[in-house]
Amino acid sequence: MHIAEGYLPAVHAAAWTLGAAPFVADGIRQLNARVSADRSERYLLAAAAAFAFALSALKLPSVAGSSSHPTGVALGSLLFGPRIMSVIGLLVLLFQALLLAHGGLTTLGANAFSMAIAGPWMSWLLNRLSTRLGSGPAAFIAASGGDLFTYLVTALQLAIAFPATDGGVPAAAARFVGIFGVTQIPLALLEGGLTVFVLRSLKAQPQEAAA
Amino acid sequence: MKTAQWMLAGTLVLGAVAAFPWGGDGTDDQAVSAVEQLKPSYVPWRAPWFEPSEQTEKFLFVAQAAVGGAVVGWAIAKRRAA
Repeated sequence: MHIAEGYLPAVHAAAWTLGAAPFVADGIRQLNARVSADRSERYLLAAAAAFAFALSALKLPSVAGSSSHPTGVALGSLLFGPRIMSVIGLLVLLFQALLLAHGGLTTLGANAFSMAIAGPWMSWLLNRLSTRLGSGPAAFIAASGGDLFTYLVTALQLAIAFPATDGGVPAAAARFVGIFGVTQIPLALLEGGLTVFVLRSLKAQPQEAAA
Repeated sequence: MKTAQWMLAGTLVLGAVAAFPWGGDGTDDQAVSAVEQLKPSYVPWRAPWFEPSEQTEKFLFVAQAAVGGAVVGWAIAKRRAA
């Protein structure tokens, strides 16, 4: 889901950056408010950030000889709500853009929109919708669904920027979903399982808190 | 388990998975190829300001996973000790 440096036209890159900016600004305010004196909560925050940092670097094999990576942002979204994940996700993406030539500065806004905003919000929503299944299954659905949604957003971002000459945006979207979709399904399920495992290990419950 | 054990477990598991030469064609790269086919005239208007060598890149990915794993392990240990 990292759109490579320079691989979105300037207007698109600027638009996604502008779209992501208010979420990040809100996330910074939220983060300031949340990082209280509560030490136990700070452990959770460290775990949420480190989990996203590690998992989004984890290139894994999948079906059909292709590979991809999880996102790791659902854990923090379940623990703290999606708003602060805009900041954590952005920092992870910035690190990867600067040091790993993974993603880029021009595509940072678009990548933040998919991984740091859309994914965490989808996870939060899915968790809400499935809480009556129990906290474990709900967290699994939330993390898997958020992972897949992140990649779906990336596919749409690319399709809008590069419509097919024959078939326009829908045809291009089908193409990009084809690239990301099948490969991502096993990894999304893995991310779901890993998120539940870490939540359990942390002895933490997903927050019922409002977003 | 003690803090050091949790940290070591996180580091080893995630570091090893990141270090393993899985191979496979990355979807991020496949997307770039698709863009090149959908719009052959498109020229990326910016290149990464710094591109690590393949070995450095691998090292950084492993380091990222290992350090992340250690911090997650640390947090788990602290939470369980509390």
